[in-house]
Amino acid sequence: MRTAWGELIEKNREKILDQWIEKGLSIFPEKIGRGTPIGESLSEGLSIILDGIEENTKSFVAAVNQIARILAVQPLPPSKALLLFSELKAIFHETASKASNRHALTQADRDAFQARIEQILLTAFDFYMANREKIYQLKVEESKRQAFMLMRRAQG
Amino acid sequence: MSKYAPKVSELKKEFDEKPTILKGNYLDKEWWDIPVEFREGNWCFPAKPEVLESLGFANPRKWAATDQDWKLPSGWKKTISEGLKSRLKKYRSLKLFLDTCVRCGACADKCHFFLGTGDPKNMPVVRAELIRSVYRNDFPLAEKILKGFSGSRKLTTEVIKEWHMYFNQCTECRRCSVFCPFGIDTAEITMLARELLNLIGVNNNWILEPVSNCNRTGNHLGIEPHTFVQNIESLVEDIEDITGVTVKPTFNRKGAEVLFITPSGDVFGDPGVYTMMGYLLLFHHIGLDYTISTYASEGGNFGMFTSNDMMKKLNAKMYHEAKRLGVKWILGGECGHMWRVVHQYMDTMNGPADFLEQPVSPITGTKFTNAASTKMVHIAEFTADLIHHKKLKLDPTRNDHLRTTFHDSCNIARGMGMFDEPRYVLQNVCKRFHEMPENTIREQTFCCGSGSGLNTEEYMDIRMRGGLPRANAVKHVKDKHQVNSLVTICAIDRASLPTLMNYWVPGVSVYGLHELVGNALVMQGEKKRTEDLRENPMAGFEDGEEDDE
Repeated sequence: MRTAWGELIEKNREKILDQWIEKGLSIFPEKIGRGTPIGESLSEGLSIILDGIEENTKSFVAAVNQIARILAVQPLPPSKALLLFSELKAIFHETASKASNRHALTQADRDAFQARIEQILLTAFDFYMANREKIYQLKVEESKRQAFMLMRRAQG
Repeated sequence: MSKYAPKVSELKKEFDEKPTILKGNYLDKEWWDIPVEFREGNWCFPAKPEVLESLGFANPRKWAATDQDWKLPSGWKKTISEGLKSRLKKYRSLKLFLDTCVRCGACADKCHFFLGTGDPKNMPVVRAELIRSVYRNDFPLAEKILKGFSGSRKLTTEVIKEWHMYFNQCTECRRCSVFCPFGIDTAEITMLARELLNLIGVNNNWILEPVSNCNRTGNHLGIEPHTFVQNIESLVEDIEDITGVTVKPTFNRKGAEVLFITPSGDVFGDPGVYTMMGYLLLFHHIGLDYTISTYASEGGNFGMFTSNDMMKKLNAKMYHEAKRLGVKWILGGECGHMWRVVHQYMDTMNGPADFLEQPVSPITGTKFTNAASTKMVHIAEFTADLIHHKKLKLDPTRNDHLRTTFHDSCNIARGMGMFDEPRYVLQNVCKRFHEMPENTIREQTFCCGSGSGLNTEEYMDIRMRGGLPRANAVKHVKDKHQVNSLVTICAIDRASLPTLMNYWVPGVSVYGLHELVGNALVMQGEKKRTEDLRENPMAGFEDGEEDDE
């Protein structure tokens, strides 16, 4: 990690990830265990996001999409579903406030982290919307596939 | 202590914020008091009145699950109550399933809908309890006396709404029954519950419209004979373009040795039509004396999701046609629930089919003794036997552009115990094959999430959530082995898995087993093959490169 806030996350990775997964699972309307397919996918995605949080690498962006894809088919409004990413802020600030003086963050570091989280949230929102649109696209494609031969004949 | 054990503060938060039966307004109430909420994406459209009228089914009307008043017929409670009573008498299995469950919970986390939604009423044990709680209230005397202890409740419209919600969040895949120490088959409970709901007109158009079409014209889409024939002839032309070989299927031909029946999705839908092309190439390759019926033009049997009588009627159509045409036996294509009906119910519904002969492969002489009563052989068995006896000229490198895995279709795997034949065929026609994790295949296979008539577009969100366990297993082999092709032997899978893959695991295409057989078959008199049956280039066979045959 190249930033001070990134280093703080790296040092406290296990604890932050654990809390974030727990918070993430509590967003769902029903209880979802860690060992379930949703729990595993969520844990995997959040762990990749946390490890590469400083910049939008290919694997980082794919992981944000992986999370957005899960959230987009839940019975939750986007405002609630995407809270997942805001949750990291609270966990981070709590961790930062407990850090020793030697690792204390400046206000500029905190602002930089805040800006980064907002950026990630907006990226996640883009993916969330893209996945919602994909659901509707899939409905159209499925109908077309079911009548594939009839449409082929109709089109000559 | 487990590192996942929740902290007191977390438990408090959960207790305060989540709607569970343990708190809030439900504190002193039962699990069934949590109301059912229908909203966009979690219910299937009900059957159109004209569909019900054509079948003579009860209570045709316009309604929606989101309506307050479902316009149930007068005396509906009596209809359900007597319907349940008569079925308990008729089906000993139902009575056993309702009486023997000890609520051990072994089934709970085996259901893909429970895993995908986290909704406790999607645990198979609770799903069955939805009906068991009514059964206990209405029937055994001892339970009546012990009312309150026995978990019984009265039949109300809320119960009907709950049944409609949760018996349509079960794909009758039977994964739960594999883990049940008593062998309780929740799929049969769902089947019976849906049958009861149909008695009062609580239903699903995506199931009943195909049933009505099948009842009238012989297939789900309601396609009439001439169009059915024209579609297959169009595929024959495609085969000629790709391979240079002219295959010659016959229709309604009396005296053929074999009647071939497959789901109509293979004749009309993408990617099913490529599987159909594979069958046609195979039959031509071995010179099979077969015919296709334009009357029994559907292997699928949505009657299974409607009522026992309708299932029986649609199944009987195949056997009537076999009798009329005077064939010796029936060869069945890649279908899911058709095989559960044939393997588990046909014999006592319409069988034994004494007017047919015990199937014998005309090419290898193998006697299919397992089909001694139903006289119907699964194509994967038939082809595996041909390969085993070295009767097919195959070039598996023609599928080198595919890295495959195999999805066991629930009805074939758990419904008839067929695991190895399709794998044997697949590994003989394609060199690259990787299994998904052990607890997601064979008898433990995860459903596509869209079976039993739930493959409807308005249900897409729930389907995607229910299909997540299957998709995760495919993602595993995609990440680990770069798998790009999911092979399956069920028409519902071929219709629904492309959507599931496209959402969760983009980059994985869905294939029927016999499409790959068709790619690999080296046909007599064929032209140089450069494309597979989808007209995609085959790796190493592109124009200008040497064919290594």
